Amino acid sequence: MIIYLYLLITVVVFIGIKRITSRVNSPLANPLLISIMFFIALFSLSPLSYQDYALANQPFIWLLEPAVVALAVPLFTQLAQIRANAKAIIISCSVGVIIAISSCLAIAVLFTDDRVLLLSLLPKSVTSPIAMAVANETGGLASLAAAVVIAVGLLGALTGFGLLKRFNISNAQAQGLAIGCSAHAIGTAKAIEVGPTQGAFSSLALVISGIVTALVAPVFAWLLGIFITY
Amino acid sequence: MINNKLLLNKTTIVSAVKLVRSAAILLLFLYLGKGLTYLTSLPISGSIFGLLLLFSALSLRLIPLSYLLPTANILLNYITLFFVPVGVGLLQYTNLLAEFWLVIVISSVVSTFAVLISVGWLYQKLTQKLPSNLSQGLSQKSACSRVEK
Repeated sequence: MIIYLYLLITVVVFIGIKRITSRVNSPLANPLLISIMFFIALFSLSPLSYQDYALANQPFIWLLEPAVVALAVPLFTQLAQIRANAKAIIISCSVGVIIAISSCLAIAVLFTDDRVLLLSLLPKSVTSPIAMAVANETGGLASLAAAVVIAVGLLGALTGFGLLKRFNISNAQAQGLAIGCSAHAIGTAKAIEVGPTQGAFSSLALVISGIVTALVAPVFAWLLGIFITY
Repeated sequence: MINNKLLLNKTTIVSAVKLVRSAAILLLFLYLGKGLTYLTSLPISGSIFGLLLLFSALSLRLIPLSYLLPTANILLNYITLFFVPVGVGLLQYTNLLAEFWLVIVISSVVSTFAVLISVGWLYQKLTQKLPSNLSQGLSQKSACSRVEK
C-alpha cells in the first residue's frame, strides 16, 4: 500500500517542476521532460525500485485511455474548421505518414540491416498503442517501438513549435497538424497548452496518422523485405 | 439542520452527478472503441476508435457537448501529467536503447523534423485562401526543397 506514495510523489514533483519551469523561458524548461529525467535519475542512482513506481503509477496509464477519447471534445469544437479543410487535412496527414515512415527507414538502412530494428522504428510517429500493435503485426519489437515512440514524442513536444516558427509556419491549424503527425499524443499534450486550435488539429492528426500508419505499415514492411534479404 | 445541509449541498450533488455522467459516457465510448478493435482486429487502439465514435456522436448531435465537459476538461488539463510514468518507462528499455542509440537518434530526429516541416508547409500551402500567387508559390516551393535537402 505504501508504494502508492509514488503516485502522490509523481503529482507533487510534476506540479513543483511546472511552477519552476513556468518562470524559465526556454524550450528545454519542459515540465514533462524534466519530471521524466528526475525520476529516471532517481531510479538509476538510488536503490529505490522502479517496479514499485511503475505499479503505483498504473492509474495514470489507465487514465490516458479515456483522456485520448476525451480529445473528441477539442476536435468537436473545431468541427466547422475541420469540415472546411477536410481535403487539405487528409492530404497533409497522409503525406506526413509517408514521409515519416520512408525518411526514417531510408536513414536507418544506412546504419543497419537488422530487420527487427527497422520494423520497430517504422511506426515511430504514431501513438504508442498503435505503434506497438503495428510493430507486432509487421515483425518488429513492440517494446522497442514503444521506447522510440516516447522519445520521438518528447523530441517533437520540445522542439516542434520552435522549429515551425523558424520555418514561418505560423498558421495555428498547420502547426497542430504538424505536431500531431510527428509527435502523436505527447506532442498533442503540448499543443493543447499552446492553444485550442493547435490542440484540436494535433488531436486530429494523431488520429488520422495513426489510422493511415496502421493501414500502410504492412506495405512498407513488405518493401523492406524486398530490399533487405538474409 | 440536516435538511439545511442537504439544501446547501445541492449544487455540489448536481455537479457530482454531472461529473459521474461525463465519466460514464467517456468510459462507454472507450469500451465501444475497444469492442471495435476486437471486432475488426485492426492494429488501431480502442481509445482511437473511441475518440472517433465520440466525435461522430457529438457531430451528429446524439450527445450534447455539455454532458462531457466535466470529466473531459479534467482529463485534458492533466494529460501531460499522465505521460510522466510513460516517459519514466523508458528505464525498462535502457538495454535496447543503449545498443541501437545512434541509428535511433539520427533517423528519428531527421524524420521527425522532416514531418513537422513538410506537413506544416503543405497544409499552409493547401489552405491559402488568396488566389494562389504563382511566383510566391514557386518561391515557397524552392525554399522548402532547399530545406529538405
